[in-house]
Amino acid sequence: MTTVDPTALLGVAAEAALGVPGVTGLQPRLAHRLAAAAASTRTHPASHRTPPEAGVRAERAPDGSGWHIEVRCVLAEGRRAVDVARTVHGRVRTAVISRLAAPEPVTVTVTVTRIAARYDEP
Amino acid sequence: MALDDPHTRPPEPPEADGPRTGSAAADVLPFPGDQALPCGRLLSRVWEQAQDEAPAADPHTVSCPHCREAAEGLATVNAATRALRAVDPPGLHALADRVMNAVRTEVGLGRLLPLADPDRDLRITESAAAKALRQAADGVPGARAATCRLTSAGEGTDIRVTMTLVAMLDRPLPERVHQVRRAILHSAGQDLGLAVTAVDISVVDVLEPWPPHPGAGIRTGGGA
Repeated sequence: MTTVDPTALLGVAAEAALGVPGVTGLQPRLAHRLAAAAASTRTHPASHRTPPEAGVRAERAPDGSGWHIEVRCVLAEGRRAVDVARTVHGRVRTAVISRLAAPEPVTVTVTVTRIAARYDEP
Repeated sequence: MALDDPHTRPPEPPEADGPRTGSAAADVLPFPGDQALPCGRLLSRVWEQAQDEAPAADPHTVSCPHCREAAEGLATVNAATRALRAVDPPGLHALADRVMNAVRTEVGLGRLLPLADPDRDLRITESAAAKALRQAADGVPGARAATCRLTSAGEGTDIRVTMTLVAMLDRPLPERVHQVRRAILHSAGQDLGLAVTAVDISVVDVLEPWPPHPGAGIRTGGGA
């Protein structure tokens, strides 16, 4: 049994996903968007920036064996979505496994949430 | 402003993806503006369950990532709402707007569809896939996509596309529909990597030529 900080896994997974050509950003999960909506009541809206880790979920498997990582990607137009997603899957899995102190099973889900046209906001 | 695909928001109360259990849909009367999560559950129902003192013995809520995510978000919003209620009543309206914008963005992503890789868990939102396929259809001269829905077609990664189209009548419709079908299949394979196995196309209206024929009437659109 090893202790791994899930927050560290989020960062590792986000960095790996963002390094894949064709990935322009990570889509924040609903909980983060709601947190941002609440936070901007107390601060200037522009001052609240959602970190890339907000587009990643890291969870222990229900039986405690291994991790499940979910990454939500925004892609750029011009590359085949399934190819980019496959690369993200591989790199995230490798990055997370390398971060674990002891070998554990890691499953990864990659969701393409949006394909941004060149004129879209990033 | 929906930048992606203005057609992804259903005009009528959304349908559940899975088979309806009856009780899920019938006990809750949807209020105006309620939203369905990608799993088909209404957001209001998930939040009501989350507010219940006794944790609901509902296997779907326990296992569904969309419902869990929505319930987690509610805790944050509740805390902010309580704080605001004490000090800043006008701020509540702005908060409500931001919350609903966040929810609409999430719901607008649509259901999740499997990409054509049976060995890995790779998915794409219906809104992202529909946007690409609509663009492909629009690339056929004399055709414009009106609506585009995608659903899983049976087992595996097979996908069925259902599109409505407006088309010009200067050429036979079957020929134009055939071109659109080919464009959809090509884009699904080349741009997305989606295993589209069925394409249902309905022509629902006539696309008028533009600019209109001389003497065709008063121009109603456009600017100066």
